[in-house]
This record gives sequence, C-alpha cells and structure tokens, in this order.
Amino acid sequence: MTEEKKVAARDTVGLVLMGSEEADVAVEILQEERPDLRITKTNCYYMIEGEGKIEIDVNQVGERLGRALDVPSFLVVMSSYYGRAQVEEQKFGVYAELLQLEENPTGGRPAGRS
Amino acid sequence: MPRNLVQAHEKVKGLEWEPTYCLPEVKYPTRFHIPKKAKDPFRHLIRDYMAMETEKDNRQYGFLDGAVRMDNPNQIEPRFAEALKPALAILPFAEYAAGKCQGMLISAVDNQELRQGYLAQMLDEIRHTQQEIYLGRYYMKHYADPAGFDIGQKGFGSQLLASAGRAFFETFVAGDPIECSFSLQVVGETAFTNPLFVAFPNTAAANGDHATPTVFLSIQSDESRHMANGYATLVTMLSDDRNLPLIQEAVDKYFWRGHIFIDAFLGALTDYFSVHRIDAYKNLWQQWIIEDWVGSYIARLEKFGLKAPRWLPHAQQNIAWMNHSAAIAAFALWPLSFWRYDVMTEKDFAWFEQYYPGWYSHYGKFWEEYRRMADPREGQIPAMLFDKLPPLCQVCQMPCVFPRQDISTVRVVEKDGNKRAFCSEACEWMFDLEPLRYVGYTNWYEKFDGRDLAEVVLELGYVRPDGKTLIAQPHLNPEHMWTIDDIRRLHYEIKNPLRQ
Repeated sequence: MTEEKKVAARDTVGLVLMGSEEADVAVEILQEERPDLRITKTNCYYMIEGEGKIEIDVNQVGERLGRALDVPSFLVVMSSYYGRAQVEEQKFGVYAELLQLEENPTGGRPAGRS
Repeated sequence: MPRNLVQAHEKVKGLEWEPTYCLPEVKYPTRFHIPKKAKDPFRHLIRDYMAMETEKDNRQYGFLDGAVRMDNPNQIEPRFAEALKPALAILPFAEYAAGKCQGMLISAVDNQELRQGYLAQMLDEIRHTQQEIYLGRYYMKHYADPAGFDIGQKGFGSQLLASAGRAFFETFVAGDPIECSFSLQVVGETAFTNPLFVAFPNTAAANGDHATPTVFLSIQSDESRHMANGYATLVTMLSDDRNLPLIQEAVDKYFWRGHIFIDAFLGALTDYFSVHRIDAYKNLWQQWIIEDWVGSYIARLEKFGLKAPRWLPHAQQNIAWMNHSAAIAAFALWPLSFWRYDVMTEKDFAWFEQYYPGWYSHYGKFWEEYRRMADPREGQIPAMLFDKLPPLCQVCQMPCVFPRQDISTVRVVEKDGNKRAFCSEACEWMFDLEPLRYVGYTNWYEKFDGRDLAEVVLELGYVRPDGKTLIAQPHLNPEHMWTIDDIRRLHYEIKNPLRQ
C-alpha cells in the first residue's frame, strides 16, 4: 500500500506548451535565458518547470518568428500550467507566489485580506 | 496606435452599471459571503478571446481534415481506440454541466471582472462539447470498428459505470453555485484536467492516436483560463474570513469526488487500454495531483488557513490499486458496455508487476481466467467468478471495490430505514452532511434487478446493426465475436447486491 505523507509546499511552477512553432521559439529563448529550467519534450508538448517563476516575452517570440504576436495569440499554444498565471501587456507568466494574497511579483498591487 | 491590453481591460470594467429598473433577483442562493473586490488574472476581453478561439479552431479542424487524407484514424492501436468510446461519450456531459455552472456563477457573483472570465468559460465549454462530439464523429466515420462511437451519448445515459461519471459531473451544477465553482474550477479543472487533457494525450500519441492530443491540448489551453477563474474565485472568497470553513468543506468534498471517479476511470483507461505505456497512472497522479496541485498550490494556502483536503491521505492509499480494482469491475461485466475490451497478455502482466509490485498476486488469476473466457465457446463471463456483484456507493455511484478487495473500505449501513452502501468513510461523511441530496438516487442495480443480462443488453441498445452481435466484446479479435444468443445461453441474472 502507498505510504501516506504530508505534502510540503514548494516554489516549483510549470508550463505546458503544445508542439508548435511558437513553442519551439519560446523554448529556444528560455533555454538561452533560463538554463536552470527543466524542459522536456514529450510526444506532443513541451513540459517546462522551474523554481519561482517562468515568464515569456511574447514580443521576443514574435520577433524570432518574423511576425507580430500578441499575448492572446501566444495563448493558443499554452496548454496548461501549474502555479499562478498572469497576463500582462506583452508577457505571460506563471508564478509561485499566491497572486493577490502574497506580494505580486509583476508589480501590481496585492488585494490583501479584509 | 495599438491598443493597450491592460488599459483596455481597466476601461471595460468601468462600463458596469447597476440597473434601477428592476430588483436584483437571487436565482442561485449561496452560503458564501462574496466580496466586491476581485481580479481576473487573464484580463479577458471578448474581442481578443474570439480571435484566439478562432485560431485554435482553425488549427484543430485543419489537422483533422488532413489526418483523414493520411488515414490517420486507422493508425491508432485498436486497444486504445476502444478507450475513446467511453471517454468521448462521458466528457461532453461534463463540459455541458461546466457551461451551466458558469451561468450560475454569472448570476450569483456580483463582480464584473470575475463575470468576464466566467462568460468566456461558458463559451469555452460549449466549444469543448462540440470538439469532443466531433472527435467521436471523426472516429465513427473513419475508424475500422465504429460500433460504440455511434451511440455514445445514448449509451452513456444508461451504462452501469458511466452513472458514476454523471454523478461526479453533476456536482458542477447541483447545489450552491460557489461550491460548484470549487468542484469544477478549483478541483476538477486545476487538479484533474492535467492527467486527462495533458498526460492522456501523451499516452494517446504513443498509441498512434494524433487526433486526441490535437483536440485535448486545445481544450486544455482553455482549461488554463478556467484554472485562473477558479483561483480568482478562491482568493476572492478567502478574503472574507467567514468563508474559510465553507471553502475547506468544499475542497474536502470535491477533491474526494474527483479522485474516486477520475482516478479510477482515467487510471483504468491509461493502464489497461494502452499498448505503448508512457508511465503508470499512479506516477502521473503523483506528479500532477500531489506535486503540482497540492504542493505548488493547496499547500501554499495553508498560511491563509486552508488545509490540504481532509481525505487526501485516503486517496494516497487508494492510488496504487484503485484503477486495477475498477478495471476488474468493468471487464468482469463487459457485455454491459458499448466498447470493446482487450485481453491482457504476458507482456502486460510483466509491465503491471514492474510498475505495481504485487499486482499478479492480487489480480493475475482474474486476468488469466478473463483471457480463457474471452472465447464465446467457453460460455462464461468473468462476473461469474464472483459470488455477487459489488454494491454501488450511494454517493459517488462507483462500485465499492476500493482500494482492493482484500482491504476494501466498503461500508453497508442502515440509513433512514434503508440499507445503503458507501465506498469509503469520505462518501458516508458526505451523505450525512446532505442526506436529501443522495437518498432519492435509484442506482443501476435497482433499475435492472432480477432481469436477465441478455434482456438488459438489448434494452440498452448495445448490439450492432445486424441485431445480434454485441457492440462490446471481451477481445479485439474479429473472429469469435459474441452474439446476444451467447449471452442468452448464460442465463445470467442481474442481482442487486443490497436486495432486501
């Protein structure tokens, strides 16, 4: 029988990008800028995991693709994540922090508690 | 000048108004206290949303069109194709219930920012219903053995084990609307859609099925926003301390409900319908549910007063065995299905023993007998190996077989003068919290008690167009297909194990 044990909180976040040209480029950029990330290619998607946060500059992805790309267009290939997601003007990010409850890493104002 | 997403989203929020020409009507009362302040992390705007979804559909349907030209539907492993028959029959109901849930939330939650996310989700759920039905149609039209894909929706409505799927998915739409959000968005979508719409497509691709990953990963790209809807709802409710015990109760209840159905069902499909396996379901569960959902999400909320789901340790005990027990419950009564099963080979036995040490000693004999009985000339079905059928849980409608027959957590108890079965302490706890919610449910055995198996198969419509050959078969061999006459010769009576 599987042993039951208390599950500890962790700072790991993850992102799943479905196989696509946008994902290939995003992964290429992340490999250059975040060598600490663990990136696995499966049969049909990339699994990208790391500590604290994963951010994708969508402008940069668009530049390498040679066409304009905005965040909603990039989200077409963003299949899943774990952590807290946040959409900004030209950036998509996943954060370990509990956005709105803990400090907001994207610079926004935390909502706080009543 | 290009539009600024953040500014546009702020502006749209300011367009809300309070109508003065009618009184607000409470259609879906809630026990939760709903604060006015909330944030939508995806900053939904309908114009962007529509463009994004159009692109998703163009890519998905474009692939399916090309895939037909390449005869892709027949490159799938036949064993795995059979898994899609129940899966694509059950899922549209979940999507439809999820869409209705958004209507409840839009009505109940007086916050424009959250409502915008719920609105997009409602449209997503309709899209998913269509995608899944279309995927079933794709295989029905182009796969070599379409029987079962054609009656998926009808078949689902009356299938023995599908009742459990319906019972779980109804928690998206029955009861307090904020509880429905917790069942759907915080638990169902954030925890369990990843094993379903991410890990399962990876297994599908390994088994020659490229259509399911294309459709499911596209669905999951919407689920990502739904997870954020769940998170936004959760933190909004958490900002009023009076909600904390209600949130805890909801997380306790619906984590268990999701676990008991999804892990048994998806675990059986992943492990027993694959030829080429990526990993054991229990390992995928450890990754997606324990590490990612609990570790990276729920456990972090502990400092805000929310504890891990009460029944999580029981789920951790269940996970090594529950899909095997569920598989036996399904395979033993194979004629009551609208899909085929495959025999387990020596290669399968070795894999199970490697990934689930001790598997053979608990289940090996059953699978050897199953293989022998697959031929209709043997004149037996595996259910005959058991003295009686396992009772169905009055709450989750799953057969009470968990985690394993020799260490079963089943409990049969008197409630309001009736004998009731529960698969676990957790389900009995839920019954006692809201008995009126569950007492009226007439389960599958009660409907068909005392009937001959052949009569029931005919009544459910689980026969092929020749009127004789069963849709379900216990093997994938085109020879020696079972007919309704073979079933008649069994003289097998459906007996409600709780018959008074």
